[in-house]
Amino acid sequence: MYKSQFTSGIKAGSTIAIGYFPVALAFGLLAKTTGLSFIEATAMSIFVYAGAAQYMTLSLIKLNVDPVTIVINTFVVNIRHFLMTASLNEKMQRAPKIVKAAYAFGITDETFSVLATRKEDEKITSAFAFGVASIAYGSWVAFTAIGHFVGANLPEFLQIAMSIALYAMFIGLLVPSAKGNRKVVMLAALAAVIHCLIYFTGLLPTGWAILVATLGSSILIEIIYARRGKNPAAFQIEKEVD
Amino acid sequence: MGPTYWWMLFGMALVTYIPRMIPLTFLDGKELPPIISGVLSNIPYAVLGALIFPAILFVQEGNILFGIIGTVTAFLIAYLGGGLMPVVLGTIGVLAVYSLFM
Repeated sequence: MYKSQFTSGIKAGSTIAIGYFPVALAFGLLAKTTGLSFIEATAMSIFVYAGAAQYMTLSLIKLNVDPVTIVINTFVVNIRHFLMTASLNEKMQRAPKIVKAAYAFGITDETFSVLATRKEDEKITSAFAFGVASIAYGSWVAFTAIGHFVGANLPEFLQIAMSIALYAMFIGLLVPSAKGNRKVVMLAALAAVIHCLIYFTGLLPTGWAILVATLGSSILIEIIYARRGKNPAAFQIEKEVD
Repeated sequence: MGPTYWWMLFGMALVTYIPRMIPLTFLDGKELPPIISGVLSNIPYAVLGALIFPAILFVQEGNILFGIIGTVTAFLIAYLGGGLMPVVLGTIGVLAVYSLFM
């Protein structure tokens, strides 16, 4: 029983493993161009295991941001997992805290979406979660190492061109979500504008600028949308009074 | 990068693991206020905007054209429905050609 649940978890997680292939490979390559050693790059994937935060860290290292700010940025970017695991908790089989704490390490955006969208009458077993998490994690770590190894053997003009890869990837992540979603466009645009303002006035060091721009935009846009949400209701109430 | 790197990695690992672990082990179905969860779900998109601009323009020091060509190419491929890999590889390809003649 335990074994078959684990195996079907591996099957469900193999799509993630395939999806991680280009992203982890690119991370390894980029880590190389950022100046991280093979061990340093692979260790980040082993111990941190958070795609967006890892990519962000590379760009912050490139910008000479201090390590403490990098850690704070990592926290801000990953705090969304708090939300995900809070909602996932409802779907999971009861298990000892130590078991849940163990597979919690494997909860990423992707493993979350596979687990959370699973249509089952019964609760998701811990063994299934371990299956999904382990194949995804294995793929992430292995392809980081391979990417770094490949990056070491590329000609110089390609390495120059590759300096854009990180940002191209950010754009590739942003545009599909932004298409037809005004809120996403506004969030990204406002954050970009705030960051540019801070950057060109030299008000704050880079890491803090990104932090302030991110939180500022997320909070402002949320307040605007919360007010808008109330407006139609207020309008209706006025009409009824009339 | 030396020992600082490993301390940073330790810190990063800790602040990544904690938000994943706490709700699963300690929070049994308690809900967050909607405005907080709204702000939290906004963060991934906002951070992308802040990460891309203005840094993308200064990828190659003293050559802003490199950054502009990269930005336009990436947006174009992404907008036309290219996946993550076509966007990244396509942009690298265009800039590789450009940097060969730079």
